[in-house]
Amino acid sequence: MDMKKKNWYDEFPEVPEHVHQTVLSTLAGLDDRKVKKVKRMKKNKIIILAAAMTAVLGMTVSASEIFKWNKQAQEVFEADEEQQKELVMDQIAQEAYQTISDGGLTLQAIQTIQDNNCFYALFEITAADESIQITPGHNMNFSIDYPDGSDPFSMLNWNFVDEHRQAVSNSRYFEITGTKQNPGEENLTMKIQFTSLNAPGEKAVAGSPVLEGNWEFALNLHTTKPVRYEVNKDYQIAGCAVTVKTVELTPISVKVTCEEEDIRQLETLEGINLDQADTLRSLFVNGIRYEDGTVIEEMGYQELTAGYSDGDYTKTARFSNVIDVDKASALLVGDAMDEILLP
Amino acid sequence: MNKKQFTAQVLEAEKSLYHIAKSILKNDDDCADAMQNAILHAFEKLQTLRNEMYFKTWLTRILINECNYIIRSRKAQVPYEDYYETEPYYENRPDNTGIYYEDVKAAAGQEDYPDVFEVVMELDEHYRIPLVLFYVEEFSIKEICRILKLSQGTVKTRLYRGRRLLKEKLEGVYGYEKKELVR
Repeated sequence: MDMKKKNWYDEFPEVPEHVHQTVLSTLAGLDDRKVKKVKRMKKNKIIILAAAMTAVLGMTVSASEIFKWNKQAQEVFEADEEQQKELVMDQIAQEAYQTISDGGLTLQAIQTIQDNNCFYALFEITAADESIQITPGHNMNFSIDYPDGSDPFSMLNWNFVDEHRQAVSNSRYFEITGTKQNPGEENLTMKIQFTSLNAPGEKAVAGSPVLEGNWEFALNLHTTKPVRYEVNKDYQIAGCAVTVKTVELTPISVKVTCEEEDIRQLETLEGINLDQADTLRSLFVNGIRYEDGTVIEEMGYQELTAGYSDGDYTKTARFSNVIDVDKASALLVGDAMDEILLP
Repeated sequence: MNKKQFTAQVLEAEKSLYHIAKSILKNDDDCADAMQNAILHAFEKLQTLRNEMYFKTWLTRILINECNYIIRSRKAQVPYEDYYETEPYYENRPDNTGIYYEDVKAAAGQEDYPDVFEVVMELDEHYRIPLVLFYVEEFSIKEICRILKLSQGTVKTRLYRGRRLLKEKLEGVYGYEKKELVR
């Protein structure tokens, strides 16, 4: 075979269908809330089976109100039973407990898990007609209304759970995850109005509605006071002296603030450019050391935000496992697991 | 660039992105994860793209970052010894991914790929990725330098050595004629 005439491009495989579908669903899920049109349905078409509003703002949780986490949420946050209780007591995890049926579809808001940096909401969506099989490629059309008009999210994603987490049937879990930016101190009630279940789309365009209706939920948006450490100390990170100013920890996320100048040096050392969407791997929080020496390793780093501002470099990340903040004695960062001690 | 333009450009680059992810990660599920993360990351950071002309180069670089991250996190999750025991298609070898491509295919029940692709995938990633970027995706040397953050000399050397290795393998295993490999 004459390699001169060979078309290399044709020698490489086509994009497999499931990879293509992942690309399409990712593109379809990009945050376009601002351009999404909501078609309102007549109120009399709505049958509310049960609608118990989620925890009243500012209320505290008593032991009797501790609920059992949904298994899907347990898997996402890798929380054991004790941690689940702790997070309920801290109001990081809240039961949503609202169910609305309309147009042959029942939506149940199950629970939320959130702090200052991230947001997670779990719904279960069930078609009355069992011949309607809801796959991971289906999607929900919805809009969100924030009462004071300020959108606290810098990024919002949503999707039905994958097949490896749930078999295809007429019922499927639906997740909304968000990254918060500058969350205020005030609690908010955000309204999520779903308007249709859509079939899998083509070429990143949402599929046509399978079922339409009006399902409106009110979910709490709240912050959690993190444990804040004033570190203000130099640490050797990837062989470079970096002044770590503060670390803020909650059971589900971490925020680290460092001196910008030092991080610029790390950029040079790593040969990256943070202004061009590179990521600073030497500052990935890859583990937490507890006081007794136990190390909780991260199962896949989940960066939420990162960037320079006012002479500082700040990054936030969600933990893959819920951590016990009270026991934490050090962050372990980068491939070398360099230590940042928590005073 | 708005969402519609972003979507169109990503779809236009989809096959290239897959080829590049495949040349690093080999496993299709990992490729899908890397492409998904790269798209989300790129959309989030879209305002940092200074010149839309370089969108594909920029997105490719983000994708390679994501691929490397998947490799790194996979290594962090499971020691190599455990990989060997629990996942038959992983094995420790000097390749960055630690994967035997033949075993990935067998595990995934994939059909045979064309010879050139098969041989490229057997090369060390130092040669494999520049070859794919240059010959398959037709990036220029300068663009490859930008994507891989390597000097022109290094890229050229890797292309030269990769081309020689590829030629030897094709001639030795697949019986290709002794002709120069050129684009």
